[in-house]
Amino acid sequence: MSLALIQESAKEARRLAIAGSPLAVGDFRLKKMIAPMEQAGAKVPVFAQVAKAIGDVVNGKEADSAANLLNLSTLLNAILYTQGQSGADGDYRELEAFATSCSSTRTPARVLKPLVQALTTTGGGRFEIVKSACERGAFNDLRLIDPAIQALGDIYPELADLVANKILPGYGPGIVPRLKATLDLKGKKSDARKLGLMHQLDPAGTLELCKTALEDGSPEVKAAAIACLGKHEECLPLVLEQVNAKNKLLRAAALEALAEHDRPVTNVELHISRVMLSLQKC
Amino acid sequence: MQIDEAFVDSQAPNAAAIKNARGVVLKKKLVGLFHSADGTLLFGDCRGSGAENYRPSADFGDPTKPVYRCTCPSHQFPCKHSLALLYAHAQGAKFLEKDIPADITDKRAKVQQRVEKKKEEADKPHKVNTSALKKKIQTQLEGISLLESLVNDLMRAGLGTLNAKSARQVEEQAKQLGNAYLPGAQNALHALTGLFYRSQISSEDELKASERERIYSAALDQLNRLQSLCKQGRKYLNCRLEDPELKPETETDIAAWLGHAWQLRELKDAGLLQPGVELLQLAFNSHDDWTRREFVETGVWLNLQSGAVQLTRNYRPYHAAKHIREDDSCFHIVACPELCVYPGNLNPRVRWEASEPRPVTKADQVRAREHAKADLRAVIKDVKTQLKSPLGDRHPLALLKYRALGRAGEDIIIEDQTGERLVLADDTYDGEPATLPLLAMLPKAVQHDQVMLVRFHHDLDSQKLRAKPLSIVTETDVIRLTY
Repeated sequence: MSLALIQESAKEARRLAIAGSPLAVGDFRLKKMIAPMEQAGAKVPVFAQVAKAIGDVVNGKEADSAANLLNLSTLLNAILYTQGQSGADGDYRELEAFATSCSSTRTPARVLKPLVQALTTTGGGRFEIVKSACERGAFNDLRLIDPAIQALGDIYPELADLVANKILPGYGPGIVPRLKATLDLKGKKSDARKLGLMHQLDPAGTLELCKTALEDGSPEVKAAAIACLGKHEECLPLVLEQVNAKNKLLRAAALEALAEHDRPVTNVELHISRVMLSLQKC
Repeated sequence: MQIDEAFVDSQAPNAAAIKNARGVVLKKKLVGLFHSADGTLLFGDCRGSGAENYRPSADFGDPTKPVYRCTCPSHQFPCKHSLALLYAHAQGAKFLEKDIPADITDKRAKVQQRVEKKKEEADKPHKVNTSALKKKIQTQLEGISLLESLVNDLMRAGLGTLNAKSARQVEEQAKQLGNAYLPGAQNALHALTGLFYRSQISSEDELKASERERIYSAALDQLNRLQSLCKQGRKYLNCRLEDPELKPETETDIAAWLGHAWQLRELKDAGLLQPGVELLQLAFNSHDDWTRREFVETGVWLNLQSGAVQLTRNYRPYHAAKHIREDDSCFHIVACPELCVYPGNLNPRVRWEASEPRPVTKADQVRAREHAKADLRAVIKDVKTQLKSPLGDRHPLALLKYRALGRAGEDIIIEDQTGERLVLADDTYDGEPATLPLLAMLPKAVQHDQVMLVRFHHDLDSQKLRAKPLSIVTETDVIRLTY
């Protein structure tokens, strides 16, 4: 079957339906299709039917143009519906799997729907819905992972923090690739939360990413990276450098991260840095 | 009768009732819990805001049709007190044996009388007022003419002239179709006009040029459907006008397209009844269909006897939404003594009057998997046959057995035993969430030799037939990807 001929006719029918059916009467582009259609119709009867339908449109009265054009379009669409491409070529590859620690999908829709709405929209009363669902253990559902990730950027920070601290860690390291896919190092607080969460779930795997974030990230993401790097002793020199950073946010993050390490050497270095900083200010 | 929390959830009229009922149990407001000697009645006393305790009860005299009663003034059935009683039972609270209260015995007798009366009426031959029916059909034919002139006017003016404002004007004119007993045709027209504006009336309801370009093919297809509806509808109504004794058509779904609300009695009379059927729900979706101005809850069920994939639809118009029970996901096997099947194509709509839930067993899962179609080529052929019919469902569903789920190039595919492939892709049908991203989060075991419920969709612009994964049926569970 010459599918190209049918597709071409369908395109013309669509064009005329947009422009208005009276223009189809005597349309030369449509007229041009009749001869090849009739030729193809000798072998495949359906082409002859299409040729006749085109003839009715082109040679018919203007008053009947709407019905004739719809008849033609119905016939063409019916043929095209039988010719849809459903397969794909190429070698078979396994699907990359990031199995999460939850594969249940037994939450009823009536529970799930308001919860997803609370996580993905704005407005009052959402925090209570999410909090009570979290306490009931209703988040044990695969379908809530993506809405929860979306809620990391919620305009209500308490909600975003609740999701980052209580809800998403429960799904395990399987969600790290999902978080990484939408992570923007130059982004805002939501990306900082994502980085912190990724590090919490997979500390070794995200170490390099944290270092990159410290170099290229936005201040919020840098601050999150400092907090993450502060948990690795070998990265403490990087954190120490940030104690003298111009940005208050970064200084605070560095000091907070260092406060976790109560070791004499760190205290001495920190003391020296602080003294130098105060000297610079003087 | 096994009462677990999932069963109680399914009995609640809405989500708020579940929350409130659980609150009643937590606050220990149930001060007396009793059951009858035969175990068919649960009743109790519940503290409320009034001076006297409320007396909720749950009557399982007929397990397929439980009756909930309460002395509280709530208009919801079952009310939170009756639900709380069931939750207490499901959570293992101790119920004492007690005689059935006299008022409930009286009410049971009245129910029995009503059932017998209904049975008698059902046996009586149903009289049809032929002159009224003829008048109705005449009005419907006039409505069909109106629809035809609307469709022709749209075609003459061209789809390019249709915008948010004119689409709404067409809808105003289409109100006459509702008055002409053609609500189905009216909805079909709304499906067309709804393409041209956004759901919320605002200053930004007009579509952008790029968005308009994408909807023209779908709009033209919908116009084709409307024209076919006019042709087939007129033919069908003329046949009925000549012979008013003629029953509604059951070979095709033209009656539903025109908006005929099938009564269970009509379906039974037409022989569209299947006795002793068990159904397993494979997927559930609820969405706000703003073109119909209704909330629509759709359940996709597997008929464990015939293997057919069938649908339940619960329509709740905006103005009556509060008073109609909101349907929910079902995690039980639903055993129906009588299942009524609507006329239709691959996935007919079904309804039942009475049903009894029972837990899903491993044998049910095995049975469900056995019903899956192993030959992808044959399924795709059936789907295309349905799609080419102008009034055929554009989103047929099928339960498929696959050898492998994976990638071919950039596409995610499933492959059957013969190596035939089907590309999976998301669509935005019925406001459902995307399901492809979830596939990577599933255990690796689902990638080989499993069974998947898919919904097909054909894109007229790209000429591609794609399928959206809705659920995966494993040996132990149904993994649902939508809600």
